[in-house]
Amino acid sequence: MLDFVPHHMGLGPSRAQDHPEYFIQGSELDMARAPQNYTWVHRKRGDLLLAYGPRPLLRRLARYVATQLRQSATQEVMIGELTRIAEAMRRRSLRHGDAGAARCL
Amino acid sequence: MLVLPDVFERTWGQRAPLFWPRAVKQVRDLFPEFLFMAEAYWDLEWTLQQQGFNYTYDKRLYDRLREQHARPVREHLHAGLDYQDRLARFLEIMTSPAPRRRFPPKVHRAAAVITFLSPGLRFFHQGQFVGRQKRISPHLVRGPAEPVDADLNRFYDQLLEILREAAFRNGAWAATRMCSGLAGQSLVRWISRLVVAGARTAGGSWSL
Repeated sequence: MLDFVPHHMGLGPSRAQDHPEYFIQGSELDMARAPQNYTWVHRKRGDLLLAYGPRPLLRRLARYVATQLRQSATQEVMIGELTRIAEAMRRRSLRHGDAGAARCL
Repeated sequence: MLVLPDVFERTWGQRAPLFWPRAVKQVRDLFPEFLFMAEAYWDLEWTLQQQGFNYTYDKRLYDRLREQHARPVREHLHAGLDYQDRLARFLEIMTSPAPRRRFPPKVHRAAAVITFLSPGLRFFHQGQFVGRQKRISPHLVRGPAEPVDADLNRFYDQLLEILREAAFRNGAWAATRMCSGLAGQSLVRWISRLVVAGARTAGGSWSL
């Protein structure tokens, strides 16, 4: 069993560099209004202001930023991730039998 | 839930296309045995079921059980079976408060009988059968040693034994109504098995 949340993700070192369109971007005005909800990401091709995910506690652990699911490409990335998870879980289940899956009554 | 178009729009002021029907279909085409369960709140259970989830959390039953009023619980169990069969029913989840603050011992047993002898997915939490009290972060993947609550453990042993009976695995479920005795309380029954759950309050009346 795995908790999959497509709404936000940890900001990997290269994601924002290569694919800023995957994330919800804010404006200077957004930052002025609610600075706790946004974070600057420095890039060679210009800094980005990205929106945090909704859980303040997670922001202390990592930079969880919101994904821009209005973009079809972002949805495809998330579905690709989910497909990889399903494949890995099936492999694990085949290897370990029931021990790898939740016990069901 | 957060990526449903209406919720996304409320959060970000932008409308996103549907995500889950597309995601569920693509994954299920490749891995038909893969199950989707939604951590659903805000009355979005039915919406998420319609978008392809096999099961959705039934936080409403849990909340009503915690309030310890029988009528709202009964009313919840009168919902259509096409909906109830796809609810994941639980007494503990990772975000719930420490067990002692949730249910007094007698109420816990009555709540467990209602929760796990109702239709839907029976969703047990790690440590629930032995009465663990510490909330463990799922990120930690370990926890402190705690004493086993032997009474509770015996109760769950009995409950699991009952759940192995064919009637509770494959039988047909229906809510029913008592004509006398418990003041018209409606009860639940499976074919050939009748389930009664209650806890007497200090004043002598039945609450749950």
